[in-house]
Amino acid sequence: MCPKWLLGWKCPAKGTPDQRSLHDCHTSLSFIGGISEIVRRERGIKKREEMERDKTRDEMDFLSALPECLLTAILSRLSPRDVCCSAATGKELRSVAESDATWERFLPSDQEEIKSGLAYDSAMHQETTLRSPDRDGPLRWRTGNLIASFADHKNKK
Amino acid sequence: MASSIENNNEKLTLKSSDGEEFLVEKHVALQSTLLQNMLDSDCSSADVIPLPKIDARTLALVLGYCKKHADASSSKQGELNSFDSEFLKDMDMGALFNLVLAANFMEIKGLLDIAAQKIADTIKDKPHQEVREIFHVENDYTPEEEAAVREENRWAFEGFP
Repeated sequence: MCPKWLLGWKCPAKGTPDQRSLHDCHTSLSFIGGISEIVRRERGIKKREEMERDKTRDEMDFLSALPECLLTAILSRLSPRDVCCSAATGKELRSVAESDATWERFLPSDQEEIKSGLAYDSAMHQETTLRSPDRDGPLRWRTGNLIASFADHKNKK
Repeated sequence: MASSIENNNEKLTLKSSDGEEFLVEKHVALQSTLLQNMLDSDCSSADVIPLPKIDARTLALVLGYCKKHADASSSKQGELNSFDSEFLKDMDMGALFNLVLAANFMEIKGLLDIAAQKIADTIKDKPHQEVREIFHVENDYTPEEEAAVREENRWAFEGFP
């Protein structure tokens, strides 16, 4: 660990470096001005190791680097089948794959109006199931339920 | 009129997370809503705008995209579309993810759209085991849990191993 040139070097305090610990040597060297070459080199190695570690961490898992809104942006560009499959990759992706935000893109663009009953009324005059928010409190905006209500509506038709 | 031309020639300096500086024309920087807001609220008086979340490699790509789109705003859309697809061609997954993050941070909607679409296209129609490899995701399911997830949407897994 201790380079040869250092062994012959006299510390400003009493004794030669081999009578003292390496740590003391470093301290004395730093004390008399500047950081010794080895300390600097050791720090360099440490920094490089840290960088390597960061790099491998980055390569390890892309998904954990992305905020949920970006994962949603990616998944919502897939087909419904692909979204369902992606839920099987891991727990993190599953929570995104099952979120309403992801599925919202697959719903009709006038879904908000449908929910409030406006477009629905003008488009089809008989059905009223989707108007229930007025009476039964807000329509639950969970994916499963919403799709179920759409399916329901389709079946009744 | 003269002053507006002068404004167009104004340049900004952007600094990446790893300390590299990029001199950018103002009209190119305006592709980013983040920078546009900063300029509007007159935060631009600082000489250098630091972008601590974006490394030099990614920032160079982002600015390449911005320049093309800023300069070509009046030209044909078809040309831009072919630029976009060429731009992301052969890009590795790590670079794409960095690009999505940067586009999100700098609020460049067009770039966010095409990069997210490109990532989606890469995993389209792929079985989940392959998606795991592409994203470097570790399988944190027990075999029973995984089977349960598959059972829940059995139709989606038909034809997959």
